[in-house]
Amino acid sequence: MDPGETEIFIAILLASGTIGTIIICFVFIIARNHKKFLELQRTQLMAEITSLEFERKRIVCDLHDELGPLLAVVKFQMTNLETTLKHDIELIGKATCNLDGILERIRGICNYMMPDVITRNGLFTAVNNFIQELGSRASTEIIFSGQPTPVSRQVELHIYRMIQEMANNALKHSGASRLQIDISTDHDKLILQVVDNGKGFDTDSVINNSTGLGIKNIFGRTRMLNGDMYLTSEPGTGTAYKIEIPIRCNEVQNTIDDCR
Amino acid sequence: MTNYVFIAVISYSIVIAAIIGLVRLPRLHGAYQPFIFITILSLAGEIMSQILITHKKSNAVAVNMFGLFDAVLWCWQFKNWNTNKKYRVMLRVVVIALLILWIIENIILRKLFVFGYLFPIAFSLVMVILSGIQLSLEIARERGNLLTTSKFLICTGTVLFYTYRILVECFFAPGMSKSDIFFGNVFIILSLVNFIVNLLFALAVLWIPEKQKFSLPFY
Repeated sequence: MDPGETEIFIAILLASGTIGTIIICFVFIIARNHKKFLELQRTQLMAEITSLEFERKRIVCDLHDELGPLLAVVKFQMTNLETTLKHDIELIGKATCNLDGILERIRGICNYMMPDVITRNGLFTAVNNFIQELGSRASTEIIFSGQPTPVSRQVELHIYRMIQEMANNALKHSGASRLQIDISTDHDKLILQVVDNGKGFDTDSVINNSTGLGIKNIFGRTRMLNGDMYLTSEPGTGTAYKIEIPIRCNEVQNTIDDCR
Repeated sequence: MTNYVFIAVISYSIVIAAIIGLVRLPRLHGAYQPFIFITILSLAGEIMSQILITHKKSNAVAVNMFGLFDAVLWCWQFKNWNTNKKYRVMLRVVVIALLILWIIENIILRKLFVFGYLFPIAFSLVMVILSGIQLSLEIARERGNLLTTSKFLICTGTVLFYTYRILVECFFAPGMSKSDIFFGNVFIILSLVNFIVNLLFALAVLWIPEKQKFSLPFY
């Protein structure tokens, strides 16, 4: 190389070094900030879901402890009304019947919003009860297989909510005739699989348009539990959810923060 | 070791990514298939160039043909990664534009037997832009460590390599009457970057997921 070429070559080397350093620095800064952003997002998500659960609990308490007893008193007062008129007796009978219906509905809503059975008997029994109730209202064949899970009650509640959401989606939107729910463990992972044979949907449109609160909710809870979600669905082929939750992070007595 | 031997040896570093890709191919998520094909094609291109040079023939045809297949495969890869309809339409337009440019440079201007510079520069520019778009999407969508995410590593590698390629290709434009030693030295820079990027690709192939995780942007 002549001196002129050497000068140009040195200039190229300097430019190359600078470009390389800039790109590498950018990549590392992006990766670092991305990690911080994820932590922040996860904290926000946890706060959102926790406040949602808190609000549900408050509504259930209000319904169960205030509205319920109040309606029971009304029912008691009505049954104690003294009348000899046939029309009034019939009316009291109908009103009492309606009050029973309302009380039953309140119990149903309370159970749907905050199932006591999870805290008392665990996820397996709660899902079984939910399926029985769902089966009585729909013509879909629902199959549930599972085993007791080594995770905390709080985590079980999140899994229960996901199952509720997925089962409701399958029954309401997919028109499925068969719904299969399976909870199993594989090494250090808890695996939840929900498969239906309904009409399915285009997952790309869900990702691109970010519509569908149900899927957001399921995805949000999965992320909160440090899990991964796999969704397979295409129009006409049914829908299959597979959610893998690390047991190590969500064992009884461990907090979710341990796994950050 | 002469410049040529040094360049030839480090160019074969793509063999690591190609072998890992071939072994893992049956189990990998389908969306990454084009990338595996790219690594195999790159290896084939290197071997072809080596054979031509050994027989004292110019490897310009092999390089120009490889450029065309490389462009198509990369566009296919970016199409697989992004499901946005507008983006896919844009990719179609890009592929057609690149094909037209390749035909003009190599067929109409009859430059198939000499090293082209228009198509490589245009393609490199397209690659840097597409990789930049994909990187920004990954930042929004990825929930794990970005540095162990295949798409992120692949796009970082392509930004690095094609940025250098634009820089280097500019020196091969007509009117740059420099000595062969100068061009050889300039090309060594690209080869070194190529080596680093090939190692990055090997890591990326190793971390390609077997099934695609579901993810929602900004959630």
